[in-house]
Amino acid sequence: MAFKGRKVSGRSLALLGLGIAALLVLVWGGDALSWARDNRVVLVQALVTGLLLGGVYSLVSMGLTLIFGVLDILNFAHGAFMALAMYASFVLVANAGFDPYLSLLVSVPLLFVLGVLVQRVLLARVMDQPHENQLLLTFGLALLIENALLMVFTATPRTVDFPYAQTGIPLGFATVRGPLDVFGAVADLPRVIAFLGSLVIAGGLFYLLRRTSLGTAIRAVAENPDGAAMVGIDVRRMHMIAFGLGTACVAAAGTLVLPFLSLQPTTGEQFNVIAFVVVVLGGLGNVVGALVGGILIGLVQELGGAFVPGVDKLFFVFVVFVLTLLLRPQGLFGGKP
Amino acid sequence: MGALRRFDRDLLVLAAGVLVLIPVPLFLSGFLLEVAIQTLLFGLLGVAWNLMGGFAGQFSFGHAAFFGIGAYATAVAVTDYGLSPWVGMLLGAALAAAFGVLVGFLSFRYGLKGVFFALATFAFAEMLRLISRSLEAVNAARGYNIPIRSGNPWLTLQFPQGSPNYYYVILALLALSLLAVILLMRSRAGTFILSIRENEDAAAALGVNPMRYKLLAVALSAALTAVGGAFYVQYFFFIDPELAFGASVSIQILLPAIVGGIGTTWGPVVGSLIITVLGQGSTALVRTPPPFLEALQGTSGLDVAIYGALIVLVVLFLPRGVFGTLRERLGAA
Amino acid sequence: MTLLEVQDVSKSFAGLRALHSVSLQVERGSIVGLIGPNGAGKTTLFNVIAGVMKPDAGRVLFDGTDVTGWPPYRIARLGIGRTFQLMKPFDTLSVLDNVTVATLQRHRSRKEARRAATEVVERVGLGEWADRKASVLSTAGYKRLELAKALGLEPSLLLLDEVLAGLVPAERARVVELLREIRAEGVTMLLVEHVMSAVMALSDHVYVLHHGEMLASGTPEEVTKDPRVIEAYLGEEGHHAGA
Repeated sequence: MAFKGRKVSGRSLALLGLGIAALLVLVWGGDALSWARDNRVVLVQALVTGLLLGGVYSLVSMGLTLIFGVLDILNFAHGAFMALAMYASFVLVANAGFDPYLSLLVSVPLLFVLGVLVQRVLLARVMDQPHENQLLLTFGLALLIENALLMVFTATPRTVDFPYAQTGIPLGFATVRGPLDVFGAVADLPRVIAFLGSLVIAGGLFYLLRRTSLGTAIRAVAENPDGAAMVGIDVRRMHMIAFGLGTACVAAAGTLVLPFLSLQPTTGEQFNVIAFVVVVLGGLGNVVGALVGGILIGLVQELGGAFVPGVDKLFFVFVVFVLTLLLRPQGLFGGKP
Repeated sequence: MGALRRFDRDLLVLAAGVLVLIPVPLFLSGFLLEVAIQTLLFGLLGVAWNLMGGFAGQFSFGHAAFFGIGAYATAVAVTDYGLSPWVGMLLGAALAAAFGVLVGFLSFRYGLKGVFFALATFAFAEMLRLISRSLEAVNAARGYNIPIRSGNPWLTLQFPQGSPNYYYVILALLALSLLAVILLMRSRAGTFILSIRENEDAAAALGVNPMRYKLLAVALSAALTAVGGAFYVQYFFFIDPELAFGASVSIQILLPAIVGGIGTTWGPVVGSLIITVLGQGSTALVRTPPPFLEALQGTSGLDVAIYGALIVLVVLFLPRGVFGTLRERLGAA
Repeated sequence: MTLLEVQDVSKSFAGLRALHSVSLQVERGSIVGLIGPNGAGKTTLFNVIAGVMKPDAGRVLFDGTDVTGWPPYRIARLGIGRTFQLMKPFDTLSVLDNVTVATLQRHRSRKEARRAATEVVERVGLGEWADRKASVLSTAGYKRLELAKALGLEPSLLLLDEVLAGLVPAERARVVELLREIRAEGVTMLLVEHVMSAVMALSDHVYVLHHGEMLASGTPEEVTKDPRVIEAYLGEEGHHAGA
């Protein structure tokens, strides 16, 4: 896979962006300001919702970008794994009365193991094939998983109640009751928890990658597989672990959003697409980029929807996607070619 | 046999194939005839996709864009302007080709290749879907119901349900598409297209203008796909943004070539046959499953699950597709 | 008469200077060698001449026409053929088809183009593999195919990028012979080579590139005796000035 990056340098892009912003302010500044004042509530709400959702996007995308960084595989089944994790949690909550957040203890390890297996059995074989084939393979996998879920659970939307809706969350010194008020905007408690949970797990992933020997080994394989092999790292094992970590991330994200999204076999699809956009925006293989990109895309989605109410919010995400591909395919932070 | 001379032989195979297929409506009717029609339609779409994705090497994950343009052009032409669907078909083909050239030019100019290009095509198809869903001028999410028209059925392209004429129309369209593709590929332009797929830099160093020939393949591929979309609308009498531009449409369009043999003339046709058989088989299985598969009764999604498994298996074990692998095994170099 | 002229070409990559004010001339009908230690910028210069890269400064003139910054396909159509150091065959096409891609530039009819391609394929000694897929060839075969493709263009100028690398002496001799025949037919050549014996034997004139700058130029004898050239080569670890 190759791209001619640097058609537009980061600096000139920033300057261009500043120039356009300045122009917009000059031309429409006055109107925009009064509009913004009138619609302050809507805007702030969009910011808050976008930020909260963006955190979840970040977690999903970090898993995806990790997989790409280490394995050079674009995992089109990422969203399907998310749905799988969500159904696993759902089953535990609906049938065994689990607290949905407790089900993280099951869904995350489960999907980790599944990821390891998928890598070992399926993906390891296509590692030297062209990227389109790998994309195709994970794509076929996605179809298989999603439709297997469809066969088992049908398309009936499932919901899981947020268990602390009435009681609030006991925090020792106080009880947090939702929804929260953030500068006049409404922040539902489950969304806040999903956001915070995502950041915590993202932090955990960072710690793993930066501060542990396992993480160092993984990063070594990402940067230089041959070199890593030469210093005695079991590259195949790292591949499996990396893929497992990626699916574990998306499983966590799935379980975290379960209390406020309705669940269908196709629920993962939207996250899948968005994760791809985020990963390209942040730079393929760049974990920090995925974190920042996730928040950015969440904001773009919600703010776009606020400014232009008639159009599907996803549209703005795609616009960003196409612009990124055309102007700066290596992403904001630069990624692997 | 050299890859290029193979196309000469394909012309003969096409002629023979058409002759064999013409009398099919004498033996099939009702449900089976419908299945045959759908097989031919997806054969057409697969052939169109294969030109761009297989011969030109520009893998597209968003061919629904072209399909949808053809479908909507026909729907709008027939419903809103009372025109003949053939006009809609031509218009759709032209529009799709233009859109393809635009998207292609932007993508190639900015050096999008491989997976990035595939993702870009997917993004463009999705954008069309989202736009059509909100655009009142094309009935937004409601879509179009094609009204029954009176007049010469060959002009209105509307026949009584179950009429074999639909079969003849799609057979003709498929045959003409194959003819166009084969003629292109055996011409000078076709050789250049293949060379670009193999190695764009080397082709350029031999005087081949990569942009021009890639865009040629894209334009023809888009136009043929749009033709398929136009037929779809006339056959099913309904279109909406999801059916026109949805991701599953893009999947169904690329599936035949992948399964049958990407980059081969007959791969998409063979692939379409395999997929249709499997699809129908799984539908029948779900309707009346044997005792040990009772749990399958009434479920939905088995057919697509099988497609997914098929893709996985093909990529793992038969990257050249069923037809492609057979061709290689049987010794044609 | 000058067929190719490079005037003060400079090219940098991300701050690294690959070429600095490089000039050279290639007289029609001559063979010019371009040598220099690894990393000297030879392939970059080739890429600039062939249109793969735009120079930051300077011009490239072919037969009087300014072709600076022209895209590769236009330059090829003018009659400049090139081989690639990292060979780029059309793998799934047959050997004959590979060359046909080139001959189709000169012959509109497919039959004519095939006929011309067959001649070229025979000439480079790949006749028995004509209908086989290019991917079955050995390295030596690939090299010959590279040459055949460039020749199929019926070029007036051939840019040969290390066309002898990786060949055993017997194969080398054959290729050198072939190059002599091609020159006798009036084709001008600019070759980048590490195989010194071949460069010295074939070239009428030699340019020496070092760290992106033209270090020396002259006849093969003059250049090999030039102390700066010797030092440049000896200064580079692991490189010999004689093959």
